Amino acid sequence: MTTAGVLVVGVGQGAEEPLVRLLSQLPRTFPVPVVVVCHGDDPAMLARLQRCSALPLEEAVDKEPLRPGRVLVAPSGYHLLLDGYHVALATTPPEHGARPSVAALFESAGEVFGDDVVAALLGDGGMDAAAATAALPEGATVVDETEGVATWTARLAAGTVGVAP
Amino acid sequence: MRAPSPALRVEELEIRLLQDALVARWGLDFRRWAAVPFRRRVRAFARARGVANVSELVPRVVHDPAWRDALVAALSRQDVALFRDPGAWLALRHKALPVLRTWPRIRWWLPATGTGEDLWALCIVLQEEGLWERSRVYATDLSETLLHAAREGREGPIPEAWVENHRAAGGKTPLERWLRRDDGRIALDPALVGQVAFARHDPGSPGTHNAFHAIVFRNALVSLDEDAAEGVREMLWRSLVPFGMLLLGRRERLGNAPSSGHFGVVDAEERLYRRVR
Repeated sequence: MTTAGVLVVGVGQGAEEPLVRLLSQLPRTFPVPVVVVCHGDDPAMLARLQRCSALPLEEAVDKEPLRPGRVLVAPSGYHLLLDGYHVALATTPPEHGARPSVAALFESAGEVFGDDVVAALLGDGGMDAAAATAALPEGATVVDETEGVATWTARLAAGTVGVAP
Repeated sequence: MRAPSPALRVEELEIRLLQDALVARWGLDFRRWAAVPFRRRVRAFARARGVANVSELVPRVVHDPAWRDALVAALSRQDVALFRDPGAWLALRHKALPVLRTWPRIRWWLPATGTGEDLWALCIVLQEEGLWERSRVYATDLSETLLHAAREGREGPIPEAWVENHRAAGGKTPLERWLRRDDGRIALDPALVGQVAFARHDPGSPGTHNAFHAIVFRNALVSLDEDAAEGVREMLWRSLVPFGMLLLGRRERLGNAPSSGHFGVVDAEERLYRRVR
């Protein structure tokens, strides 16, 4: 059976609307952690996302654990990497013109969760998004903010997609 | 969570070999650095140097001090703007300086000076707030290469983002006054640099430290694993006088670590703390 370990979401500059659509489709019982990297620096966006998300949503702090059903958003000016079930922030240079970089998140997620990664790329993330697609492990699931995530969430709820241990 | 792929397992082995070589040959201990950011830094360095895999770095850093120095710089370098996260500098101005002002002398320490952005920002703030004459600033870093950059500056114009950050950080003077050298480089005014005490030092090393009144240590804990970070927090605490101030990076925190009881929160959002025990 296919399993899901983490939902990683890369959001191009100005693609807040699709992100809101995606978040609003995740039910309160969502069983895997969600990690979001957004391009651009809009300090007011976090509060707007919190209002539309049924799941608890916070800006990530270094070394905090991933938890099922919690959304962590990368702080601006830091890369967000996954180190096992923990967040690792980094102030290394931008990658593919971006910091935080979606590619850096997807690559590190692939190293931890293999093909249990479920990924969504929203809006136009430019070179960073292209590199992120290339960094996804073979067999990873790709969803979008409309039918894709809704169908996949329904399958998770029905148990036809498992949750990775 | 999956077991690492065979390729990743090999790379992890190569990284252990590199870490062991650095500690055995040069006493440089990176074994307790946060694994994933460390791996990415090493990979990027190998790529930039045209080296096919990580283990090929081992003979080079063992035999060639230039390779060693370049690697250490690449591992510890931060890519940060001057007055990054301006709110932190506002907090320092308005919440830390009024307390620090009550001491006749103020000893400052930057244990991860890097290429100097926070050092320059601090010196500018101390000038603007009339505390420079009473202050003594100690700037240390693991990397001699980076310290050299902090002293000597770099080519190029002052980035517009720096000017905006400085304004948002409560800046009161034109940046050019402090950062523009006659030869066109961006570097801190020689009269200020000349007063700063520079030294190579590994914040992860054991040993006793000076009694500082304030420590600026932003975004360096993220490079360490949790155990090493806790050791460093303990060391920072021991290095401060009672009520001495500590400024961390905006997304670092003391959290529930045992050392957190040693500190009181001055500004939670901006990660400004003070020693309370």
